[in-house]
Amino acid sequence: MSRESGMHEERRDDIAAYTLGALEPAETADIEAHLAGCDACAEYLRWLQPAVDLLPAGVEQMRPPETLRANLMDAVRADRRTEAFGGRPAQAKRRLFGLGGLSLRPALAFAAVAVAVLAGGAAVGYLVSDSDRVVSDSDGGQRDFIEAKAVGTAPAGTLAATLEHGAGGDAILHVQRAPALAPGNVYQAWVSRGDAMEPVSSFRLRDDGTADAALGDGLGGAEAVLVTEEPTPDSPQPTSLPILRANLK
Amino acid sequence: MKRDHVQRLADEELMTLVDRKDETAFEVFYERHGGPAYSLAHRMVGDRSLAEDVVQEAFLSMWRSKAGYDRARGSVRSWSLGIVRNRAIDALRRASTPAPKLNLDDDAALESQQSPELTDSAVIRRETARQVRGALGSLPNEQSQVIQLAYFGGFSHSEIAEMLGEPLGTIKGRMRLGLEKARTSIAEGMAVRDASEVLP
Repeated sequence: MSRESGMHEERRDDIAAYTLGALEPAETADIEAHLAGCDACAEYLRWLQPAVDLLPAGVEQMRPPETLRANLMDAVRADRRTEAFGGRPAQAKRRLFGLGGLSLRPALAFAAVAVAVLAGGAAVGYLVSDSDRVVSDSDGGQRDFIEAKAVGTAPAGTLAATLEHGAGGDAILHVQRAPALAPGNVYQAWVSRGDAMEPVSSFRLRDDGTADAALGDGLGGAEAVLVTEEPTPDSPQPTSLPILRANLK
Repeated sequence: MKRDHVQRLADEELMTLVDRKDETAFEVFYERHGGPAYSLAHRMVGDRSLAEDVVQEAFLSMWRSKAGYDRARGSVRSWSLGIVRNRAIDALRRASTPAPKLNLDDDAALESQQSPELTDSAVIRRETARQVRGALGSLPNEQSQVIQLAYFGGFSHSEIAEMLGEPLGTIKGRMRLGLEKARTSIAEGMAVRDASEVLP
């Protein structure tokens, strides 16, 4: 065996480990540099690779749950809408209702049935200024994207949210940024009709400060969606001033 | 673009559409590769819920990176499964959970899970799985073991060497010999033979 072929022999051990992703980072960089300049070893890699590519085919083949596809495509569609609005990508739904997942529960999960009346004047005088954008859905339907505005005493720049409103009356509140909640508290979305405030969804933020709260399809005739911080997810009426508002009319 | 047209596209053409953020193309891409991806993730993390998270994260990263597929680096299947595998390794490391043991002799369990609704492609995949397991099962145990620890467990060769109490060179040599035999068996119809005559 020549010195050169011996060197290639030694490299072949590294290439095998490389195809399995078993080299350390420095070794990976080293072998990739070698492969870039060694036709014999590059050819060996191409020959060996199908053996590794076939390994996943050897595992028990399982059918993924349909919820996986549904959640994935929901996230993809949410991404498209958010990007159309110039926001950040939405985070995918989680199966478990953990810190982030709670925000994705159906609107009525925590909604109280009773209509509450906001304490006198509390809903009056918030600074709101909405800008709308209409985006066509992949199925041909139109969806309005309404920018929610910070109201009340929240520091500038700490809040950003978009209300997605479908032609069928369904709505999702996409929160891109919001202050961290006090321990145990939740955010609650409300629909305002006249002087009445109706709770529609409770949610918490994900680790990255975002949330997507489904508000159901009961927004017909509503004037605005508002968000407050609440000590429990089933508050029948707001216990604090709203921090966000999206005007529907 | 009509869904039935998209469904007729080859993987490489499909990825061009995914690159342009075509939702229908992405859904068809998932339909084709989601099953093997979920199977691989489940094999690696050993938990259905975690496997769902792994696949969802992996496919979303493919969508958000505008696919990023380069046909010069292999098939769409290999590329997508490589991403799933990396995500599964990340999940294992986050959870500090050891990879589940691979049972190479689980055909009986597999048969028991077959359903009458299996599609042709699913049947082919299961047959391929059986053949691959047969090929891997034909390898000497020490070779099969290091390949599985590396690929499915996400362990580096030095971690495997420490785990098994063997020199690093021995581990890499076993990986190479095992893969060469497996590669030869692919070319020879899954019957493991001596690789020396067909090596490039």
